[in-house]
Amino acid sequence: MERVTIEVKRITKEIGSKKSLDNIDLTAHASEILALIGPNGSGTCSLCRALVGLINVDQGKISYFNHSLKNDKAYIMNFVGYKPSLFVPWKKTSLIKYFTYSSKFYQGDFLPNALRLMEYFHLMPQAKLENLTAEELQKVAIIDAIYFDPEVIILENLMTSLSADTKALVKALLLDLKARSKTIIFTANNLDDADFADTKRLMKNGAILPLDSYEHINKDYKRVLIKAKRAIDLEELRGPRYKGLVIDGDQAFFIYLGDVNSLLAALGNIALVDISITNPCLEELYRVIE
Amino acid sequence: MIIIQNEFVRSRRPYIISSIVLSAIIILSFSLYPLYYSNLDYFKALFDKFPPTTLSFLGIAYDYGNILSYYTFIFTFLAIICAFRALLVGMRIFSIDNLEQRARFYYVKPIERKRVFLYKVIGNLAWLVISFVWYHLLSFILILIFKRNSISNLTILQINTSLLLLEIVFFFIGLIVGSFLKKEHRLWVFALVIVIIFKCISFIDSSLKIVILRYINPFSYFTVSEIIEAGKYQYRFLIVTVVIVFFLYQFCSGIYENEEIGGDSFD
Repeated sequence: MERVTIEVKRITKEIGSKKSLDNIDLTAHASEILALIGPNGSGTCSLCRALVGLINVDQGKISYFNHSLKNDKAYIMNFVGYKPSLFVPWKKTSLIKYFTYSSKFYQGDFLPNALRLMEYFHLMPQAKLENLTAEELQKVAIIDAIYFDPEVIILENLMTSLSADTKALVKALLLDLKARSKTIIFTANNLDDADFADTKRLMKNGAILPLDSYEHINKDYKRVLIKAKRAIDLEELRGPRYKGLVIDGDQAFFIYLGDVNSLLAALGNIALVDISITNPCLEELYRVIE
Repeated sequence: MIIIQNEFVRSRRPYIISSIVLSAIIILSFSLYPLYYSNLDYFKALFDKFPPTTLSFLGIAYDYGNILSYYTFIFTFLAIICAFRALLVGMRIFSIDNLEQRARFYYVKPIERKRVFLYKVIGNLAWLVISFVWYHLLSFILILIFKRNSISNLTILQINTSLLLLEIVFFFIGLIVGSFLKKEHRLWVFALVIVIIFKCISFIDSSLKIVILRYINPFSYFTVSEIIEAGKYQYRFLIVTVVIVFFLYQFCSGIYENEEIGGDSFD
């Protein structure tokens, strides 16, 4: 096992009367890609912001390489890169000017890295930040988090606004960083965007769900849409395995808890015209998950 | 140092524009002085019709013919413009940090937040000092050109320096007000209202002579007529200025250090 880079112990953050982070424990290692998966409001981005000290936790401790974030934040940020969920461009600043300024905060000449990454993402260094598209701004934010060769990289909403081609570029880049012993933590709103992560942790209501929840969900929950030759009777689909059941005449939609074989066996009594079995999206799962 | 440089370059526009406006006003005003002097009897008769409180509020001294008295009158309006400018740039520090996410940029860099705040303040104070030097040189030259009797250079320096001190106090007031109006786009409206409120307090002060009002109103700390009369500042108001600046700085630095980014959402 690689060395521990981040250790989060029982952190809690309350906003008003609601907990945005609820008693979170988390450990990440070098050469690990860790995905925090959850829909909006689940606490994934709040956790990232807490990890870089943008929000102060009420309880608990966050440490990097055994240095407390609270006491040594300025030192720690030499080794931590962060991408916010929304990158707001500085007015009238070009990419090259932005990274020239940004790189002065770090020891070492990292501007060539930034230029290399701009080329990798097909960005023009002279382009003004305010003229970039949402996808280009996401690319800039990703470059900003990694160009100075940090040991830990934290990326909020990594794949949001990215095209399939760019997603492939990002995945390849992160896998290369992983090979160079970096720790990468990113948040995702859906399961597909997190497929390349080594560790996948699901979050709900500010808490991290048990370790096996991702594998459990991916394997056992199926999104099912059926069309029958006749009107479907509610009694035919009654039971604890059918979640979020909606029947509309000869069609039914539900999330099925169980493997495909048991599903097909259960549907054996219904004369089907068509059936669609896919993995449910995160929002659908979170509606039915206990 | 790089933050000071960046802040210095970034905030140049309001200082340059306001310095040009101030220069234009002062050049225009002094160019009218010969006309004013040649019609002094008319203006004396006009001013005598005003109550002393109003004359005091407008900065019009009884020695109407003296160029310093004339300058005092202009200075009253320049002080309002400078206070407005300082208040606005002070307010914009927190506001721009919020609107352009500059705070988020700095907060994840390997630098302590209180140092970021200090450098931002220094970058702006540098502009206040530069624009003061420019203003002082210009006004000094104009007074030398148009003066008709001997005037102490030290008095001119003291009068002009009082403008810098006034700006510094308003800059820090702007900082603290700006920390509560981070998401506000129309900061100039708030700046204008605050300056008007303080100027109203000045008017009440000059009418009713309530001692406490002098301490809460920066416009009353260094009045030109008192500087001309005494040839020096009132030390108690110098101390008040230092204390106010120190506490406002500490308070705003504390806000900056403990500010949370995105802590009000449940993402």
